[in-house]
Amino acid sequence: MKQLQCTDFISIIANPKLAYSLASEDWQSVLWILETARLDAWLAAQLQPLDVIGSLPDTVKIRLSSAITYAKRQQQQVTYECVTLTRLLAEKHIEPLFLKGAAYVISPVFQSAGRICSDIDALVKREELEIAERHLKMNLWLSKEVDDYDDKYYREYAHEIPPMMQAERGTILDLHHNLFLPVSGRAPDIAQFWGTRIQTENGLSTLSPAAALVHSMIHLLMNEEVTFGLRDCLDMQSIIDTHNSESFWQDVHQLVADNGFHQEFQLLMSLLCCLFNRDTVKQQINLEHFNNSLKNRFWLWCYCKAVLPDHPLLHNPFAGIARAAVYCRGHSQKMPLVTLLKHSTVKMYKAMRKALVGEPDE
Amino acid sequence: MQSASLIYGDAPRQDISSFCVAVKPASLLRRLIKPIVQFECNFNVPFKPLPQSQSYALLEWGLNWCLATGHFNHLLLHAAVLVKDGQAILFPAMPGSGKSTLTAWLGIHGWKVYSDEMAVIDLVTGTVQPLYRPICLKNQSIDLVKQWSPNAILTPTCHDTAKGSVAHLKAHHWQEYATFQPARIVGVVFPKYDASATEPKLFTVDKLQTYESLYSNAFNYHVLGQQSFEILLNVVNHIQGFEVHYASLDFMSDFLQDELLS
Repeated sequence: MKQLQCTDFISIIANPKLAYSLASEDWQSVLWILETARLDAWLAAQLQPLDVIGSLPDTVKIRLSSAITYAKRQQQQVTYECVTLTRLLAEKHIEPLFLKGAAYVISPVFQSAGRICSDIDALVKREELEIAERHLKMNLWLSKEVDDYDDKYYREYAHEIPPMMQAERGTILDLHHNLFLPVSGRAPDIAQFWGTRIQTENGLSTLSPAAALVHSMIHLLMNEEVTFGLRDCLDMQSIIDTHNSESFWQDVHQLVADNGFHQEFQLLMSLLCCLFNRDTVKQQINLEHFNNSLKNRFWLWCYCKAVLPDHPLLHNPFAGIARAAVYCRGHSQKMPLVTLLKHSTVKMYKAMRKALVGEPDE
Repeated sequence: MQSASLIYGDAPRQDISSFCVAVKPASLLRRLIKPIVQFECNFNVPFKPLPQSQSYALLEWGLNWCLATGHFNHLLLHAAVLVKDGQAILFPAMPGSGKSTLTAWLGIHGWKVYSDEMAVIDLVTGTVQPLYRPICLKNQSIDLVKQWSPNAILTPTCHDTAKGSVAHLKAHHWQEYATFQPARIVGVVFPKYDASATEPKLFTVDKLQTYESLYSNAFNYHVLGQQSFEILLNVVNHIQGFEVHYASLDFMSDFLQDELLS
């Protein structure tokens, strides 16, 4: 099995047309890496309009067509769930606002061909959260079983409640009341984000493209988890490619400035520029200011490595170090140091107890 | 490894593989103490490890899992597929119904074994395609097959698996398999081996029941949606369905030949 160089892999992601000239042995690695990153259907969707799929090797055609079939079906399911949830919560006069993958799928203002969602993320107002949760529970949405500590963590520190699962269809719902943990002290002004909301023809709400970009940025750069980081980067690049205009960037800058995300924004633009090298993004970077800081350059190096799929066939030296650094950074941003130390101690104790004596009895 | 090359060693190498699978020791420690192995699909581990003695069975079950959860170009049904004169009969059945024993017996007696486990149905033509996989024999059927065909190619028996003792039988050599063409489905038979039956019992299964049974045996119906509904409906509308309780394999062979093959 041949290892792919990061640069070769990224050049295909940045310019899918290049996939046409891949050798068979490279195709195999590309397919398996994309599958791990949940981007196989995405590549299929990019190649379809280029009319090159017919000339690809048979196994590649089969795998890409299988991936796109799955993605289409999942998107149909996500749309159905969003419509159902909106109707259900409307019974209590609550409006859910769909975020990230679900929003890209349900709203025509986003490009979502081949986008796979792990779950559905929805935002409700904090004062409506309890009623929404209760109403969902009464209508076949079950709360994921978590222990008392995790339940307290979600409800006191986090910006969401424990995940819920639709009992008949197995769909997972993450219900949020903010876009970042209030305990961090860096949760954005959620009313400002609510103010950007747009509606689809069938009455489903999402954030505006500018706010969706900022939310995706928060999700990528202020969390410890970057397993599907490349997918997030592609989502954001796609929002920029689709909506690049003066007013779009004005809205983005307003949200970034009002909520103190200037550093994250510069890091994001530099990251997208490193990965996809688009002029539209380059123009947003204050290069002199960004490059003057060693810290900025270090985090850019880390994210450039950490967001790539964690796959043995992708040659990505020092990726483990980069991911570890991102993991620590994410945790340190989520809560104050004292809270983080307490939280980490409890988590470590629970992990050790589980390793030694297994799960505690209920 | 030896079992894998016994079963698949004569198949040509592919330039690009759809799935990347491996059976590996679960950890360094468990390589030495009570060895256990795990199945990897694209470097992920979807199930819990099993004792090393069950490695080959784990590989076969893992391959089934890969197809069932990752192949959406065909409708996949949990059924054996036997073909004669270009006509295919599907045998969807519950575990313990004697499906694999029947498949092996028919395979030894001139039928083409398109699959012991999974019917691969074309979404446009409704024909069933062959799958180069062995027959999974359990418990007494392993010795029966050795009696019926002393030269049969069988992997060593794995004992104490979730299905009891298991061995895999190579149904065809690659050279023969490579000549198999997609086959038209002419019938669905729900077999039930009943050693105490003095006479076989035959029941006609109507189209609705046949549809329901095939639907409930489908692995990817929910992903294919309308396409799978339409192709399954088309298949069911052109076939006969039977439930057969039998003790004699000769009877089954005659029945299939006389009632279902035109």
